Amino acid sequence: MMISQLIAIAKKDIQDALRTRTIFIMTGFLLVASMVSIAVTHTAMGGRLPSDYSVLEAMRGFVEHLEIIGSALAILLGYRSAANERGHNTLALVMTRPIRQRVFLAGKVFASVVLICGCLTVVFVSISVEIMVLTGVGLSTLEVAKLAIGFASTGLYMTAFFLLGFLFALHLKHLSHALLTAFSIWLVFVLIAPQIGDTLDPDNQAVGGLFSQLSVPHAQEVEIMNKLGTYEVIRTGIEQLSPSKHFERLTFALWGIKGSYIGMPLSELLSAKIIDILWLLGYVLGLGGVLFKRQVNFTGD
Amino acid sequence: MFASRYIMTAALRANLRDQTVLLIAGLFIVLVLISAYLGWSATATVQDVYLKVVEAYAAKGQIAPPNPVPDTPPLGLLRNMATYVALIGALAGLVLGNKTVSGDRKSGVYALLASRPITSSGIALGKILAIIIAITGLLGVAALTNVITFMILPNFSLSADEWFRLAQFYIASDLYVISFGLLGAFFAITSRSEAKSLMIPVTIWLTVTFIIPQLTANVLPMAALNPLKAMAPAPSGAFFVFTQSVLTPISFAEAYRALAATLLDFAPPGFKFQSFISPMLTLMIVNGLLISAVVVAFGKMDASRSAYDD
Repeated sequence: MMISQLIAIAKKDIQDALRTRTIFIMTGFLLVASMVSIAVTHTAMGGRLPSDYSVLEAMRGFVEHLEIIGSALAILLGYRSAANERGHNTLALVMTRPIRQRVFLAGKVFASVVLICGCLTVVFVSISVEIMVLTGVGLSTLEVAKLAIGFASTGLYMTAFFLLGFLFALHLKHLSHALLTAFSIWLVFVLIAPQIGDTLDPDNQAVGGLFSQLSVPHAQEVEIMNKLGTYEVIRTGIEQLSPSKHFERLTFALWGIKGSYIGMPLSELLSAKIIDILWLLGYVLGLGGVLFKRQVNFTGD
Repeated sequence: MFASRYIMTAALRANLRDQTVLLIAGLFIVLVLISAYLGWSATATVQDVYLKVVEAYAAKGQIAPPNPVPDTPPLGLLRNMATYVALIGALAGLVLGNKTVSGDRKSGVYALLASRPITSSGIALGKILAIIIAITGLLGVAALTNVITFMILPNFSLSADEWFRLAQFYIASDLYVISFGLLGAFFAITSRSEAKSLMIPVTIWLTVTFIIPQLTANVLPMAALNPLKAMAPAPSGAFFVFTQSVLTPISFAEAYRALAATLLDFAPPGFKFQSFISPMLTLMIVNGLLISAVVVAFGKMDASRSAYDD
């Protein structure tokens, strides 16, 4: 009974999203940004052959677009999911039926996870084809596996932001305030926290990298950075707050964008990045916990 | 003219009462407060790191290369302001412009105004003035915060030329944020749904801030947030020569960044903005076009059916 209710709610929500074309517009925007990014990065690399670099290295800009645009779109998806019911006053109507709040919410979350996965499937398949066309080389089984893990990580990351937008749109009195409050939080955690961490990094104070310019080997660089003590603790602490940074560290390692992970066995790589995976899971579970714990006011505005 | 003044005053009062506008404006001011500290802290740490590198070289009996980060001029400490204006300032502008129009659409004020002896251009003038005054007020508080910072910091004193350039930076920032305010107002007038009236300008903001700079200079999205990395020269090649010649004249985010970098002394040596139109003129043209668009949009709005669909 509960499963069939959940599926009915999810099905209706997916139909609504497809009818309003929101998901098509969102997917189209992310797809254009991603494809442009990969083409530009490949061009900037001088169209080198893949023997010179990891085939997936051209995905750096793509990761950053997923961080910024992907999360913004997920917030809009969460907003849409709640606003759709609140705007038509169907929230109160649904609750007159014998349905539990958690089943209703689970149906909504399930629908949006399906939509996010659909959107990401289109984007990931398109960019994989683009990379193969640009480099003229097919993807190996390991690279496909790495792309699949990256896909799952992106899904997790976007689900966290979907939950943020959904929570606010469900609970705040005014819908427009909900969208803007969610965007303010997005601004702080996706753009400002990484920006502060990045601009405070001494290595970023010189074009091409301070340590490279001073010909300092990596081991010595680590030693010097460790000597900075509190400064470095605060800087990395600010970065740790950002889900984008965890998503970035995980995908950069997976796709060989960060050179030190190229050639590392997948199991070893995943255990090295377990903290970032746990942080992403923590955001989803934390926000999900709040969503299912809080009583929704079904009487509307 | 009197009617426009009343509309302007009412819009300003409504904005001052709106919690979302205050939240984003507050966030902007907090970042203004910490931007000078961030600039100072990063600069001081680089000097510290360089001294440690010199020690390491000396221990090996070698001489360290010269410090690649020259002494930062006082205005360069405010380099993060360029990023905060482009991020939060622009978003605050969008929200403010949207709220200036959307509140009256939702409460049916336009139908009431249509029954009074006031033209659509009179309404547009009142709303545009409200946006300009509110944004200039916000930037004015930011400027005052920076002025007080420089007066308090004992080691940094500005010359007359530097004070003048700081004023020019705030004029450019004002123009940049106002353009987003007008963009927010335009879509608040023309959209049928309130959600879309926010979604479309946010999408445009994402495009001009993150996608166009990548096309013209391969500035990756996260690098666009770092005032120094964003100024890296474009890679060579016919592709970037073409995209720069086509897109840079209309890329007003890059025009603002170039202007900010030049005025605040953090542009790399030999930096030149790759457009036949000067950055300040680009910002003025964008504002002129958006003001015209807002006036036309008000003229075309059906006041009797102004409420949003959602």
